[in-house]
Amino acid sequence: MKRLNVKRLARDRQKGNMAGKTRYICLLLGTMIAFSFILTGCSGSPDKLNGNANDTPSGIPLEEMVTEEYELPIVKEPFVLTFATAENPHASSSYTSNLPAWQELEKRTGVTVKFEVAPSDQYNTTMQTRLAAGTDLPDLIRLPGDPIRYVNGGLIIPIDELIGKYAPNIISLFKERPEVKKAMTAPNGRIYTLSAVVDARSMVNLNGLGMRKDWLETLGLEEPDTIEEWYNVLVAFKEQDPNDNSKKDEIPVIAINTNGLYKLAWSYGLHLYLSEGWYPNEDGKIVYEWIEPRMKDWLQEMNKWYETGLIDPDMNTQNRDKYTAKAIGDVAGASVSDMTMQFPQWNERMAKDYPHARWEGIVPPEGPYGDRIMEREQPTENTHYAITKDCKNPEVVIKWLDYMYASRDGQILMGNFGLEGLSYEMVDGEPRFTDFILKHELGSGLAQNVLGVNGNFPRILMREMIEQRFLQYEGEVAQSNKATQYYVPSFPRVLATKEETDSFIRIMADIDTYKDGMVIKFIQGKESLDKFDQYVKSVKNMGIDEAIAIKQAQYDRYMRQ
Amino acid sequence: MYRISMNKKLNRLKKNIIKDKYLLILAAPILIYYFIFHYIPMYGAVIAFLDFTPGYGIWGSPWAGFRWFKEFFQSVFFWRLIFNTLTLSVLSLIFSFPVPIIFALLLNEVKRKNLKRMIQTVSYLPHFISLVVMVGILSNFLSPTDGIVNQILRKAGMEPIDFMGESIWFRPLYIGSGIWQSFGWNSIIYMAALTSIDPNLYEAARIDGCNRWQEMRHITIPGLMPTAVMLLILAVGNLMNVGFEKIILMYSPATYDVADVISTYVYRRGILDAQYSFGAAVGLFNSVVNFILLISVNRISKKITQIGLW
Repeated sequence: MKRLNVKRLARDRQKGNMAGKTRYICLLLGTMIAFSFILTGCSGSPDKLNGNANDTPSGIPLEEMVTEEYELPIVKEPFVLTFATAENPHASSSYTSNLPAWQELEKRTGVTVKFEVAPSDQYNTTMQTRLAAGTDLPDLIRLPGDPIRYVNGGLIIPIDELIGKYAPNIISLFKERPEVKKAMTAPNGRIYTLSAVVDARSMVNLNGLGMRKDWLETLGLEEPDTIEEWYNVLVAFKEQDPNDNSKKDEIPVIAINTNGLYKLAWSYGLHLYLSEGWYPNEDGKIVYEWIEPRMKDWLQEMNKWYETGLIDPDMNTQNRDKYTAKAIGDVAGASVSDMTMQFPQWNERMAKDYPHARWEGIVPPEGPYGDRIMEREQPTENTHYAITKDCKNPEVVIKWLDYMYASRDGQILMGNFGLEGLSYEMVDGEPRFTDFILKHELGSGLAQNVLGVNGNFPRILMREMIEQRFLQYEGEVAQSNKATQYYVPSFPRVLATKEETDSFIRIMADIDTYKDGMVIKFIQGKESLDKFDQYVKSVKNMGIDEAIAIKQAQYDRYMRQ
Repeated sequence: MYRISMNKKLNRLKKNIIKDKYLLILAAPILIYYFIFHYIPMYGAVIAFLDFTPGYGIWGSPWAGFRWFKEFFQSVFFWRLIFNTLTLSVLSLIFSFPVPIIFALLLNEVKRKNLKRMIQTVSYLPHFISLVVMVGILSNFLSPTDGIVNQILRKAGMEPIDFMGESIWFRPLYIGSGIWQSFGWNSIIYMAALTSIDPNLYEAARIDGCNRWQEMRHITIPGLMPTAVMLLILAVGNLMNVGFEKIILMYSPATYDVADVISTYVYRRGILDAQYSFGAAVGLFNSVVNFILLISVNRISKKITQIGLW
């Protein structure tokens, strides 16, 4: 019996319970505290760290600083730069395996890059822990989440003065695209991070809606242009067997989760999809659109669709594979969860079994009050690259970044076209993709990744690149471009102060949990829309006004910059 | 007087150490392991009282007192989280605790050795399926569009049910799949306890004219009792820790109202929003409740059954 006891005790401690002899725990706690004070002696005190949030910029506007031109190679002696980022989107071509574009970059700059990568979906969790430990950081890092958190601890260093001194190409980027600079400017006016500039794609590959145009033809229907017409078309899809297999297996609208449906709220003038419901009204006052009366109208419509069986009932739980299987399995009529360039790719995959299938982009429908908008992507990606406090030679790193991120040659090599002779040729002084990219069996996007081009690092996407990649879908591109006339900017990307983040998360964690639950329940009819007013009241009681004030302050700051 | 007794004690300790030195050496690695990996990291719990900022580290971050605890207690979801956590784990305990015992008792009555062994192996195989795969199987089988269960329902003329998206189905699915996955494995310990029951008892009972039902009732079940009670105490000590990985995989905003428990909330705020201090505070609160539960159940059990962990 006695022996059994010991075993049990051990097991139960393993589970994190502190059951056992409390007296000893007190003793141990004492030891531990003493022990940790010894540890304190080793770590540096925060005051010594540079990059406090209260630092002031040097006074001279960045655009007017005199920059030194640098020559290639940037370094004469071998230089190793450590760079932590998420793994290549084409995971079997790991960044750590010295990909061709990176070899070329090393040849040109003299800087050897040593990668520390984690798979994209685990990157943030992994790197957060690493940054929380705060020692032995790589030189350059893709930050897991909000930059200011790391500014405050002095883990990342300001780079504005470095840019001013050593990075002529980044300066000219800032001059040409002030909104890009704004998106990277911290609340204290300094710059700590660089982000990829990606909005070139939003004119070609849209975050839009798609429909089976051939089904419309089969059923003799017009392309729907209003929410009401959409409803009628979708009902026809459901009832009239457009895939002609004598089974009612059609799912009129497929989605991966509720997010896709938010695109349909564009017809109600709501900016839920990219701006997450935060948007200024005409007077520049921020509105939380989730509790606006228009929201109720939209929910009513979605509820009607859901009850009629127009919306994919698997929406809550399915993953992308299952969603794609439906899209190319000739059972789905419209898609709300994809980019428009996905559609021609689906058509290719369906060509063998369903030669008539034709997915195409479609303009967002007009709503009952005449609203019709489409949120446009922000200029920069929501990922931030920063130089850490452990970087020995920030000067070289910033020059290297200047070259690979912002110079024309660097943009062509790393962000867009890759290697001359292999993935592109120069025609009349302009780069042109070769068949290596355009006819690659993995598709043009992954073909770039195979070379290490256009991935998880600071880059600027060129419009020519996007256009050429989708050149083969010329008709489709023209089709999607019709939708761009409805573009409105989405809520600007503004860096938040630590206080703002803390309060915002405190309020919004609860509101989001509540709101997400209620929205899906309203749509699925598990909660009657009569309760909408009560929902609005609850959200207000949970302190939405304070959150709105924070967003307002951020928006005003952005407008002032 | 005092000094003498102290000296005596010290002497006795020395003697004991010398006497048991091999036992102590044997136990040392385990003790050191627990000290290094389970006790030293506990000092990190202090971040529950700090406004932890990565760059400043644990001892550089400013103190926040009970701010995070207050924030948690004041959250509108506090009671819902507590209620969901307790409901889910109490229901799991009620439904899944007796299953392995009953299974072990039934299996014990199977007299053919090979059959018995086969059943046992088959029953604990699901234990080795990873949770991700398990939940994947669930959502495929239960899908309202092409899942086999709903196809059968449809053939039977019933409306398909969105099992994974309906709040009322969450608890039955969570508990049911848990039982399916773990009862075979958990019965192993009872099977072991059964083998330790003295066969002479059965022989004596048979001579006294007991039938098999009476044998089970008067010998087997009392023989299992100490093991069962001890496992129960341990399980109660873990009441506040529900299997949060499985919930994360199974839930969606549509089922938050029953599925959101303390640990999933901590995951969303502590890890996804990187609010370490808040997460640590809620985690600490959770452990304290577990600790209190464990101690009180142990007390109660000792009073009633004389069986306890210590």
